[in-house]
Amino acid sequence: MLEYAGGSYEAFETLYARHKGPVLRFYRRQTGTAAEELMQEAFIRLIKVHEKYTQTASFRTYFWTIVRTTLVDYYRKLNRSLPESYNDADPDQILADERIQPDISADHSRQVQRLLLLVADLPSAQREVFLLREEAGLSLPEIAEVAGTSVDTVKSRLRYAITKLRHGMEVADER
Amino acid sequence: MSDNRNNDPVEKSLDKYLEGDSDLSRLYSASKTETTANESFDLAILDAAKQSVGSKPAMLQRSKLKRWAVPTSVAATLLLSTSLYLHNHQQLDSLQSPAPYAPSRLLLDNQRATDLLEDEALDRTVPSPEGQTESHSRIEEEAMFELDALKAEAPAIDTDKQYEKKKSQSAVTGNSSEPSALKPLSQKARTPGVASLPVDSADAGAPEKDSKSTARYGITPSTSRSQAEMKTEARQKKDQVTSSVAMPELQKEARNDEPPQESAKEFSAQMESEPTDHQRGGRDTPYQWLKSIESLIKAGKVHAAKDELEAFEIRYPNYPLPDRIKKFKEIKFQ
Repeated sequence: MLEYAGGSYEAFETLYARHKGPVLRFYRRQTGTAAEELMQEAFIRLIKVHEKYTQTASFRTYFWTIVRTTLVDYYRKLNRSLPESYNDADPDQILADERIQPDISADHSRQVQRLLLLVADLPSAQREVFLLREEAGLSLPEIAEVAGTSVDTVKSRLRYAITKLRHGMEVADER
Repeated sequence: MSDNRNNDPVEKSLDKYLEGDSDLSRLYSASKTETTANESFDLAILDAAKQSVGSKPAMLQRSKLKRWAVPTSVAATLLLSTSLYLHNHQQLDSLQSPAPYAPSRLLLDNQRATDLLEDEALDRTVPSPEGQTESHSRIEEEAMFELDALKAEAPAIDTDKQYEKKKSQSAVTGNSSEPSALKPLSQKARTPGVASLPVDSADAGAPEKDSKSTARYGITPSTSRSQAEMKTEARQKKDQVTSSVAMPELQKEARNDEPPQESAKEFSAQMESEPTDHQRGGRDTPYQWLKSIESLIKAGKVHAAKDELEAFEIRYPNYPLPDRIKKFKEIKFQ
């Protein structure tokens, strides 16, 4: 990113190739639709601010904060507020509203397809933490920084997400 | 309590997942197949990045230009304003400063021609005594002759240096080439033959180059008299004519074309007693005026010279005075 900030277009190409897939999957699995527009918006925002970039934190945290902010803006544009799960209400009662269309491909194995279905059924806040962990590879403190919340909250959301996914997979295996 | 927590299967599952060694993570990783976006999105993003990078040199160039533009424009403004100021200052100086001590030939000629025309106009407007109209045509003719003579002598008084050089030469050789118009009045009066010769015969002494004029006036040329003498006479005649109102006797003399019968001394005395051009209204140029003051000083008329000098300084306060007049000015008379 520093090279790109210094005027290297090739640095941006490398950066784009590295982060394009995770960002696109994050948006697809978090919104179901409008993933490409959101990805374009997130990278355009990065391009706009690249001259001001200074290495005060890790680039991953910096970049994924932009990605998440773009998502939050999208939520606010749609519903004028974040989904209920972000308010840390009872995580089991809000599933119906936040369930999204699963991002499943025919190439995926049945187990993968099952896992992606379970991810799509997670509340938005839990899904976000899980995806930030899986796609961005962020640690709990980094996720907390990106999400603008505490590490405990992130851990709690992640615990719920893992529990549900494991349970869902075990049920499928029993069948 | 911590043991209970460690034994909690949910916590164990979370810890295992966070360590990165879990079936769930491996299964999810299998879903990370090649994810492709629409090419148009890729192109749009890459184009935007290219523009942002490509515009950087332009921005740098602009900033370089800005860096040069300010000092360059300031320098140009300073240069322009300074040159304008100097130009205006010079023009102002040239406007404010008086005419040079020795005017150029053209200016001198113009001034003299103007003087003659003014004299003529004055003569016409002033009520003249009976029988004087006859003399006006003659006055004009004489004035024309004098103008020709002055034009011929004009190159001799172009600059101060030339003038001073000629003065010094004349002092050494005793053969004055100084224009007769610049000679002191008393010297003019002392010019031999001026008083004794009739007006027409005085004119007849013009050199060959003035033969046209002399032929026009029916004058026989004479080689025995110098050109300077002839000019002196012409000048004297002009003075006589212009002072016709104040000096009716001289007018009469001119009208009758009778040669003055007085001796040179008498004529000189008469010339000294008659008022100068400046006393008649100061119509001469500053240069001529100063010359007449010089002549007064030479003639020993210090009080008259003092008065003339005062009048001159009132009229031309900033005109540079010659050294002799300056010295004279510093002398205090009782």
